[in-house]
Amino acid sequence: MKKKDGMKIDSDPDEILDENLEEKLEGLLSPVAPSSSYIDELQNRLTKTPEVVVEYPNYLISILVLSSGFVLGTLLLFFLSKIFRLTSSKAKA
Amino acid sequence: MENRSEQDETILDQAIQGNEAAFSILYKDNVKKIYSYIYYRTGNVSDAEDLTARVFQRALKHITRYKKTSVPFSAWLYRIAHNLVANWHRDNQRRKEVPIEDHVDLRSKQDIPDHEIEKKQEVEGLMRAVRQLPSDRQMVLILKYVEDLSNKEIGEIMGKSEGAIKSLYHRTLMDLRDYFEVKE
Repeated sequence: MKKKDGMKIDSDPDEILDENLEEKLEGLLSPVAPSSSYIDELQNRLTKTPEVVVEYPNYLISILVLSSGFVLGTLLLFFLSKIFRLTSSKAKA
Repeated sequence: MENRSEQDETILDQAIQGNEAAFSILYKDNVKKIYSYIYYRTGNVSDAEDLTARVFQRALKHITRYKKTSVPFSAWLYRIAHNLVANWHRDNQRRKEVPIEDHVDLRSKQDIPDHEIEKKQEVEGLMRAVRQLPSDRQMVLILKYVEDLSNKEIGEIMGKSEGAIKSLYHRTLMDLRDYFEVKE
């Protein structure tokens, strides 16, 4: 087979084009690696369970505060009404 | 060699049973391949990183349902990546160009003489042409050239026969050739 400038003269022009194209693709498409920090970070994200602390509200304290407020309010109303009754009866007498 | 494949099988079995350390090994074995594939399909580092993370998150979530076959485990990952990239393209509508500068920078600078601007333009043109191709053809090219896989291996990944991949590859080359002929 005759050769001129490294090209096969008798070859099918389509084949030569394909070979050139394949060479170009080979030169263009090479493996691309992510950064090692990205690889490690993603590995950590995938395999390590996140440490999440869930804090539930303490309902007991709020119930105590509300109930003591209610009791104190009731007592205050009771004493105020007592005082009011006493003063009004004294005023009538 | 057999020992290695037996070891791989054991690791895969453990990962299927929910062993995170085993999954971690599978991750290390496959992350570069999946990243490379996604990088060439999306054309930028940030999307490639984001989608690679999503591929492995999805794999970890569903690994217990993975059914072992003769097809390599990486085929499953590639299929997840392929679907996610398809969704990404749908969401983005317009396709982004590969930043060639990024790609070129990854190779040794000694390989690229400064005066080769023409060559760079040619590379950009070729990359543009590759990105115009349907997704299955892009996949064939990436797996063939980037991952250096045989037609048989590509067929296993894509769920097609070796012959189908061969003809798909030829049609892809013809499309690329037509693209350049029209351009010239």
